[in-house]
Amino acid sequence: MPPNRLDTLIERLHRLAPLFGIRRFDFHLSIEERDRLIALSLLPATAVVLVIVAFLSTELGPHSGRLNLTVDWSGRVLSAAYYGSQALTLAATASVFFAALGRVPRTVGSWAAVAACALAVVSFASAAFVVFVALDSSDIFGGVVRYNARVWEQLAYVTGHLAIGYAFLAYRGLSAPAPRRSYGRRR
Amino acid sequence: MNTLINRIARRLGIRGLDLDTNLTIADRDRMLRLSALPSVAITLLFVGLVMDIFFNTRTFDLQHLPDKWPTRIDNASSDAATLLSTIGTAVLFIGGASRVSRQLASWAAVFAGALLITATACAGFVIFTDLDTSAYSASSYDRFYSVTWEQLAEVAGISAIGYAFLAYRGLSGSHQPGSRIAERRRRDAA
Repeated sequence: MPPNRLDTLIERLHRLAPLFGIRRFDFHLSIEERDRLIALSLLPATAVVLVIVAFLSTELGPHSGRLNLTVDWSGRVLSAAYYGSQALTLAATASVFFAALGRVPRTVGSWAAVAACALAVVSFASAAFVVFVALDSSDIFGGVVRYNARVWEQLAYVTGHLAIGYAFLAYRGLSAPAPRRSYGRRR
Repeated sequence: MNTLINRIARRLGIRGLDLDTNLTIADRDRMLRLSALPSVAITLLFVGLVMDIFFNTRTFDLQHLPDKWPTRIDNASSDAATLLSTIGTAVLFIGGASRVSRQLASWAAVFAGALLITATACAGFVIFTDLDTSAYSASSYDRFYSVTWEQLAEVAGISAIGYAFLAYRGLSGSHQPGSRIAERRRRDAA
């Protein structure tokens, strides 16, 4: 039977992990572990969705590229998504920390490590984009960087904080002692 | 109350909470010291809130920007609250570097949970307030409620992270009598 996409991804992650000094990954989640991972990721996912909504409303909305504080729906959605993500980010990170207080299985820790790496990469890329926009004089009016850059900055802020939370969860899961192997009866 | 908290903790997979035993005087003093900065940060938020209630400092009139002493106190207290909460979290992390007793960790877990609920509720309130049309008008933009709740969400959220780390240090099990690490430490000390 040909391997499906998930198996291929897991195989690649197994090959990449030793490069970062991480060993003994286990990506095979049970149903309870999958549900737990989904439950603890609810607030982080909401924060990321709010940033994406803010991004889409600045790029595609009728007032593209500026902070619009008007009564129309696009301004209100942008304001709610932008400031909501700002307010929710630290609560979401705290929820991941709080979820790590109990026992964290190695499988959940492994997926948390992947999530932390992905979020850190997104955060770094967004921060780099903000730096390039800030250096570009065409994107600055009146000494203020365009609002699109502010949303990229917000994306870096949200994903960076969430990466810290998931890294802690990964630490809790991957530092747990591995199950003992059975070597059969001693003679 | 303790029974309810224990039941919720067990449901969340957090084991070993000990809220029944009283804190020792040393633990109580340590908790007070560690909680000083987060408490000051939350107090400063309320100072800003009082300034707004009595002097209307957070209604941004686009034609006449206010520059009076209540506005300056409001701005200073808000900025100081944000900065102090960050430093307070750092202090909580440093406080968790040394040994944390199970009783202290249990109370830290309760604080973390309460702050987490507060932060989430405030963030939800920010979203609904910003979607509300009554906060906007043609000439002024009244983000009074939104600004207040947003700052409270940030301060409570970052403090919850610090308390959760403190709770982890005490509840992680390495200090339990009989655990392998505790046994090894006892052997090394002997």
